Amino acid sequence: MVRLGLRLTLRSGREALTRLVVTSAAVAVGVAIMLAVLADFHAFEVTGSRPDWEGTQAMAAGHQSRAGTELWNYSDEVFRGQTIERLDVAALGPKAPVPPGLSRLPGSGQYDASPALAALIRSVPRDQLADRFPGSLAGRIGSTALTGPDELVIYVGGPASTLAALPGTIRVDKIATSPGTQVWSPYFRDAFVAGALAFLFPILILIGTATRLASARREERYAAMRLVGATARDVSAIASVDAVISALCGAAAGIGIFALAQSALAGTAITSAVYFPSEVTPTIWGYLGVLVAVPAASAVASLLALRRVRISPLGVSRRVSAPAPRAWRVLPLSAGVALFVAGILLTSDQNIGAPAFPGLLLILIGLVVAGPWLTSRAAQLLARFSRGASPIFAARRLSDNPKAAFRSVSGLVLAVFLGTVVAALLPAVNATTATPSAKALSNVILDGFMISPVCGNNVNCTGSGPAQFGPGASPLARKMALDGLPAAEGASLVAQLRALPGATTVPIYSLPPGATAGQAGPGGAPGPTGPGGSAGSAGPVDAIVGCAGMRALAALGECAPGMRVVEATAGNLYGDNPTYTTQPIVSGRSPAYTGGLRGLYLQAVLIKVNSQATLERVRTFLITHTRHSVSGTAPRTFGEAVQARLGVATTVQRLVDIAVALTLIVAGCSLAVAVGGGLVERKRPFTMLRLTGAPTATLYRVVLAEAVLPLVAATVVAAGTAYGISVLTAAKMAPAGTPVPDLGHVYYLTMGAGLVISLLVIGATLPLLGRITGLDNVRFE
Amino acid sequence: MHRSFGQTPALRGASVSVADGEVLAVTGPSGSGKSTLLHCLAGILRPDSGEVWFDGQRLDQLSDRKRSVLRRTAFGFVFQFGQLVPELTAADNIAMPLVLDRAHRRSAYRQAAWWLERLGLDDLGGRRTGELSGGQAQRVAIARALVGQPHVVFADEPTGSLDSVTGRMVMDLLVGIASEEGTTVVLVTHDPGVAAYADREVVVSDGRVAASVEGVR
Repeated sequence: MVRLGLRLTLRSGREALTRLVVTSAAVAVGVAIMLAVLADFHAFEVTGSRPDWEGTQAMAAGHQSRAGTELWNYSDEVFRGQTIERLDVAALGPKAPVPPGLSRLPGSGQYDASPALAALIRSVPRDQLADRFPGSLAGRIGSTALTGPDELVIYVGGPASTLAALPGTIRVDKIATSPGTQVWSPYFRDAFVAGALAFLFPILILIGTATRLASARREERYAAMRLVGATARDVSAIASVDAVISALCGAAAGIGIFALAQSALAGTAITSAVYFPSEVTPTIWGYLGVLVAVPAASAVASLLALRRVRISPLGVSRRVSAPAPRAWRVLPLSAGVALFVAGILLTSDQNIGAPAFPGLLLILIGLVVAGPWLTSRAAQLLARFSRGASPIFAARRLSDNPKAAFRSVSGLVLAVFLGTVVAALLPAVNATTATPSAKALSNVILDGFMISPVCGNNVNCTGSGPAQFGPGASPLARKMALDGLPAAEGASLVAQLRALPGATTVPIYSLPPGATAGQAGPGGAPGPTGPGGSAGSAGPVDAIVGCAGMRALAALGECAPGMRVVEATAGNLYGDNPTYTTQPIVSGRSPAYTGGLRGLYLQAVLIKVNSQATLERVRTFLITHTRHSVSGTAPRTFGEAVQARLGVATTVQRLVDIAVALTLIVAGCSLAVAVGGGLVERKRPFTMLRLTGAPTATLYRVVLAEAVLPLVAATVVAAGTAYGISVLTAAKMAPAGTPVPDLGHVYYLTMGAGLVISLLVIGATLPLLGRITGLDNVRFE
Repeated sequence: MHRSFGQTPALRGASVSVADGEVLAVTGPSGSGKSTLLHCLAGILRPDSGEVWFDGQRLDQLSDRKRSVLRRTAFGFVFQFGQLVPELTAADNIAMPLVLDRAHRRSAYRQAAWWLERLGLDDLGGRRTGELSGGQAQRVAIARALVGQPHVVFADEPTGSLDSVTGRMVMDLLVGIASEEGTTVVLVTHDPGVAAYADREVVVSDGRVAASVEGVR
């Protein structure tokens, strides 16, 4: 049977060969995409399970021996929006542990950098980057310490005495080797798994559609074999061989396509970072799984297709045709919407809406379940309200088998749903972060010198975090933790900053000891709000700023006319959410400060820069001149803080965009195969229609209506549902006053392009219709 | 035998016997049930009631698999159309019953070649049957029906899609070779010219055998 199956599959003429090629191509597309998803998932997992040397902890107190220990100071810096991981290290004994990626510790006056950072240091002026790192480049950090080739990491060797005096320095005797925990990793992992599973659906539809291609004609052949004595099992075996051969050819081609695309895939940041090419590959189990699962799925699809027909020696008869879809099919969709609404009611504006996820999943399933019923209803409406022969033919066929009609467009419908949710929701979410104030302050650096009061999501915090005192911490350091840089040091810093061209510096001072609001200085006059009143938008008065400088930073508020120095509410500045950090710190009601600025501790500086080069020059200056700051925060612009916070949303959007794009590709292939296959299946009735005088244009309209009607009906429902739940989500989770989500022109362009491509796919099959229904084809074989 | 399709009765007590080596013609008007009778005799359809005996065994009680085995070892079929696999060559089609019966491949194709030559088709063995003329295709069907040296050949309107000259040639071959081989032939036709090739003719009307005429040929 296997030999006969091979003979029928491989050497049965052009139609069989075309079918083999189309089916194999469909499988190849599915396999290549599945391998790409598995490869990126593998890279994501490998990177996530990398030893988390950054999480190294201080050794236990009381350890006296210096042998095998070192001083360790881990921090983050920023360059052009990219984070640089920096480790300052000094061996205290001969067997000090060596961080990953190196064979020996950098000596004092040396540093080792990741390849990407080394290249960056070479390519930009010293005063923008290299000056941050004392000494010279001694070597490259190996890949074991890195998450990818683009990661910026540096190990700086320094004198132990200098390092000991720095805030955040710890003494370590062993380096962490266990995987780190990233806040978003579980969500990305779940998203990967859910995405891969959801993506299997359109791929299986594509493979199933391709496997059923020209099935009616094959089934007639099987009937002829049954006549001369083939058993039902023989026929199943022959059909399975046919499906497995196509699947194996497709799987091999898919692996080839993946191999060709692998380097491009490795160079693309799917989540947030570029992975090492060697890691962007499926595991051997992934390969084996695809190679076994895809042919098995094809064979099963083929056998399931055979179960729908009864192949007897006299021919093929359809089993009892499925009853028309009933209205219960909209129940899962309705239940999904209800579950989603309940989930949204249970969620708060502080989390990511996890209670609503089951509802979202049920809606996706519900759309697929409801599709045939919607198709059936749309077909009835078409027949009732349209004129001409083509709508009648199309409606009749759609009503006859709405499941099959919807199957070919179900992938497109799911893509529209996901695309609409993303298009409606993420811009609304992003708008709450990238506020107008944040945009106005995008070129303003904030460098705080007190311990940062808020350190969430690692947006503003450096590695060791705040409130870490080195072994040599002094009372002065503790005072600095509360008030910032001492007056003399602060004044010197401000003077030098003001000398930098292109930078406008606004110092923020801490209140003098014992001062209360409105009475901060000797002879201080109560402001308009009176003692204890709020100076800015919210919070207690905790700072002093000059009004002249604030005029350059209008988004942070303006003093009342005539004021020179006022008390301010700067506490919000040090948070991690730009919605709050960009609130005004002064207002026309801010009380005047009449004391002298000399002697005040410098709490922070705000520096407005006129270019990217100036920004990096100022940042380098701040990093090298404020090493004793205990804030635990890196100098960063408000714009960079917004970008860091939007990073997660951007990653989610990128993942969903990729999923939607891939779904569209697969669904487009499914549609093309289904429409083309449907034409071949109905060669005889279409030819007969032409023989009886039906113009080709009528047949074109029939084919077009059959494909477009289910697509439009289900798409409208999918898009409407998606937009509705997006509005609900935005209303619940976004701050008050957030506008109703606007889908925007990009969405309409994307969806319009998707529809046009679908029509082109259908249109591309129409010449086939003209050719196969030619009147010279009336004489069938 | 009785056999209905839904509410429509096709056979209503038809009874017929065929002797070994006999050529029997089943005739009658359209819708009389003659094809259904042939399909029941060949084990393709099971009668709703009644019995079909072949070579000492109840055909109507055999499983689908055993009837399939019987079709490829003891029976041969020549139908009007739809019986050949057009994607396969003439040789493939002729060898198929043997291949399905797990015969040695080389032996199966040697026998196919012998039958092709016997039926004057030796140049067409490599041609796909979809590319053959109606007469050529029917000769391939006869070769396929006889390649397994069956006891019985069932032929349903074997000349129905052919012109009279080709039809006569096909019938000459079918009946001539069957006689040489001692093969029984059950022939359904509405063409008196085709029925004239039979030893005996039974006339089916309204699902019953209305008449039996001996010595037609």
